[in-house]
Amino acid sequence: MHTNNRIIVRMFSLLLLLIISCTPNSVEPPVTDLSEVSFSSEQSGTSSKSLIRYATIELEENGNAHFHEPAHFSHFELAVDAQTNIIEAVSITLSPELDFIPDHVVPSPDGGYLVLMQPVVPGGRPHVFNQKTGEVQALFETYAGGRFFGWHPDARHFLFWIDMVGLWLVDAETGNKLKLAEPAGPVQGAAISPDGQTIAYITNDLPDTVGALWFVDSAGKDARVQFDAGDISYLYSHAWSPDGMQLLYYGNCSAGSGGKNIQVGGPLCVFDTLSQSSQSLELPFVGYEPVWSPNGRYIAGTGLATKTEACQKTIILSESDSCLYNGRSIYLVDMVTGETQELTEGIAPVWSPDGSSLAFLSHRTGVPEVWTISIDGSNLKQLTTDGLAKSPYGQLAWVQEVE
Amino acid sequence: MKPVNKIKTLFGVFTLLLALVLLLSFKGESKAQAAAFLISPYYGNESINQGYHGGHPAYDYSLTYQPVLAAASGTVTRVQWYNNTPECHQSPSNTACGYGLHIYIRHNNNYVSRYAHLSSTAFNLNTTSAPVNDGVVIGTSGHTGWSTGPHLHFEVKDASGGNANPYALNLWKDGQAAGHPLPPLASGTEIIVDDNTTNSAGFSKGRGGIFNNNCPPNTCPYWYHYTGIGYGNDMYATFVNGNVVDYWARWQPSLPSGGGIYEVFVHTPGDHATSWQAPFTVVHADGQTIGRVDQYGLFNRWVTIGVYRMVPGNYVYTTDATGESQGIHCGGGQWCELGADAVKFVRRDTLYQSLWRGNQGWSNSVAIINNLPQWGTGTGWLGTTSLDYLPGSGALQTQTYFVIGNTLWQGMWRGNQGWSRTIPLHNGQIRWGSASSWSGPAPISGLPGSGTLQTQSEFVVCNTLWQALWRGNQGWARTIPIQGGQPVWGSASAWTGPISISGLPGSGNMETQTEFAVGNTLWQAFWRGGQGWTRTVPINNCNLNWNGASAWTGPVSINGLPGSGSMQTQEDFVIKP
Repeated sequence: MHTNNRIIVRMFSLLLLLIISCTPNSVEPPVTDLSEVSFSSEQSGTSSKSLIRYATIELEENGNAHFHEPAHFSHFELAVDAQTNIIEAVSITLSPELDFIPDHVVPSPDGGYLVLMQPVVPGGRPHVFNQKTGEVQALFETYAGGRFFGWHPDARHFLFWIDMVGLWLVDAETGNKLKLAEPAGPVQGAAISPDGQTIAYITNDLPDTVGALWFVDSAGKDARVQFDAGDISYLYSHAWSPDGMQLLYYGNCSAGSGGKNIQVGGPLCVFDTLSQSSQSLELPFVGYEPVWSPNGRYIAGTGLATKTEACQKTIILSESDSCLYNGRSIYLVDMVTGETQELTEGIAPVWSPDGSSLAFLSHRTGVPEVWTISIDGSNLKQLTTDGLAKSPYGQLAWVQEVE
Repeated sequence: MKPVNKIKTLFGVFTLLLALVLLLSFKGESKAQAAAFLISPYYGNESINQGYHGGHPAYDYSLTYQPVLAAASGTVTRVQWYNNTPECHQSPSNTACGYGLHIYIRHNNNYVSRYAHLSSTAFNLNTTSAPVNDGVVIGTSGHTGWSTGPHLHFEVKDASGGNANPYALNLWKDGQAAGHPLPPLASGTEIIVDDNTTNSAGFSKGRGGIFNNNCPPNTCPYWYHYTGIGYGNDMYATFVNGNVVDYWARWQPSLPSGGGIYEVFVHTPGDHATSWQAPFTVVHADGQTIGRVDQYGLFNRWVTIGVYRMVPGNYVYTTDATGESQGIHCGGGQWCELGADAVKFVRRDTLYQSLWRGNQGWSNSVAIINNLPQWGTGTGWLGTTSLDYLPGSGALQTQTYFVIGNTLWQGMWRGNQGWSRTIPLHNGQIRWGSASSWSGPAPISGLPGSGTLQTQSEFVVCNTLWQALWRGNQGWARTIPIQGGQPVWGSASAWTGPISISGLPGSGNMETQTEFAVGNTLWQAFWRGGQGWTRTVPINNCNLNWNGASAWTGPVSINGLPGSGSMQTQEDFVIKP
């Protein structure tokens, strides 16, 4: 794949001009009451092109990666048409003045901001790039790393959690923060509802309930427990169905059935907020974020074929990432018919904006590459061919281009 | 009291004068938390593979599945996996996997120390309030979560949850954060109980609930037996069962009479053991404690699940109620496997403590790990012993112990008359029943100084026995060489002194003094006026570095000790297995 190595225009152009003065946030901005702010999730000016974004790392022949060597990281963007033909492939060059290489670059829904996640144990430290001003603001500098749990549909706020510090809604424009909750235990994932009004998260703030799923409103009020998601549970950041009526989670599917910690199916479950009950999905889930289709009819996820051994321990311990693909396939669950089908081998699917295709990572050529496939199983395409030199990793992103 | 013979001066008077600043510090159960509050079971600069910086506000120590010790006393407030998702058992690239299996300890000054990427814990998952003392084993280092290789991630947060650089803020109270290598782990006698097919030699297994239905060969359908793998070339495995106990396995060692303090290790084979949180319950002399083992991340390794006082009849067991159900952790709709292989019980050095108040005696024993007393893991003070068991008459003035080889030497003074005897040691056990007869009495007139004998103490460093005493608030000291396992009394140095008590902290009359040596550290304590003081003195190549002694810590109130009345005597000594 020929990659355009020019410094790109559009929303990333100002990355070249990143003012990495990185004004330290030694003084915490004041907390903002967002209860009177109206959130809007409307977008305008969409084009016919969509963008697939991914990060890469240089791999050795044996599959080992140089994760502590920033020079080996890269970020790319593929512009594709409706048939997932590549229109343009661009290498995103971040300013050399940025004193870290982000392991995640997450644009806001309208592209007005970028959250650049600096790897800081145990997670990351967010740096917000404002496309209009070209400025970068580092946040939470005096704390350990945390977790980015997604953009608010208003394309200005995002959800961020730092252990023992709090779950926050952060204003990307001002840096102001609203503390939504301060759980005592680790937050096992959080997600903002499509209308932006409700934040769901799993933590162990209740006695005798390790995996309580909580709701709190976007003003940080009215925190209430919904159900026990199980001692071992997790809420991915795209857990809400597009209509905001259901929650996809990993854990115990007996939620709402009165069966405390009596495992019923799982481990992927869909909780219906109206009926207050959960159903188990017949997807042999093996990790990576499962995702709702834009129309809410399907859930795509990564599963492990029956009877396939997940991985030999020797491989896990010596070359763990080499085991990422063994036996893994993209599965599709039809929430209307209940049917589950195995689409193709690969991991970590994401939906095209129009819901017709999935992009994912596959190791079928011997090295990880980005592939796409239509949801009917046709039109399988390999989009990247850079091999070990630039091996895609982590979660892809597929968004509509905003003109 | 040992015979006092004419002696030669073996050491400079100056040295011995320094030596007289021996303070017996009774190691109280609580220590005041000052700005410096961490101790250094870690691990020296040479073992750091990533230091503290903006992108990494912590230290990474290059430990490979080694015991992890609490850096300061406090409360364990967190024992959990940072991220429960199947892809986050261990990943070098996925930052969402965070700390992996980790422990938090909140200290008395509200700082929190964090220990990440562990492979086992000495506390149960979801523990939120368990007291722990500094130096205690809390788990084993590992390679879980966001980790590029086996190491211990050690992090400190201040009272506000903000980053704290423990080295820069000089929070290490023993001043040994830099360049203090981990002492070699003292080897102790080991008892290994391995799985077997006949439910024998301490091993048993069954089904249908805890300790129900022992299964001789081939009667437990879901205890799968595998050969060619595991300790002793075989192992058993079953599938996990959520929170419901069905299948179990037990390891019961044959412990010597009286038991002892043991560190418990669990062996995980290279296959058929994939639970992320296999529970191993230690039934010990002081209750039951559940530890957790990440079997998925271990390949033919022993990991520790803590140090316990154990007596005959105690045991370790596991069950299939790991908390993991179908598809949880091991992914793909599969059930994780619980591996049952071997459990090892390693006898640890034991610090014995005795004290007398109001003519009643009390004793305590504390494990020593990595040359650190594991305060809080001891028996607790046990008593009481009546003075009637001791020879002589009158109030007990002082008692002393020291160990040379396989002999415990015991001395005491009461009514200004001294008595002594020896007690054999065998495999770390004190054979009280085989003690020699008391010899004595020796008159106090043989001792330097004047006035009532307040205290006498003795301790051994390499081939030297040190003696100190206080009479009339004046201190004296001498040394006696050790040859062939015996003090050569005839070659004892002259008594050096007197030293005035005014050089010691606190106020009031001297009551008691004690010392014990562990590794390269001499621990000292004394009581005066009902208050206790402690300090440590480095030992360099068998020489006591008095100039390098720590500051005196205290005072500790006598109210923390059992019994009533004035402190009469306290003595500490270490028994090696």
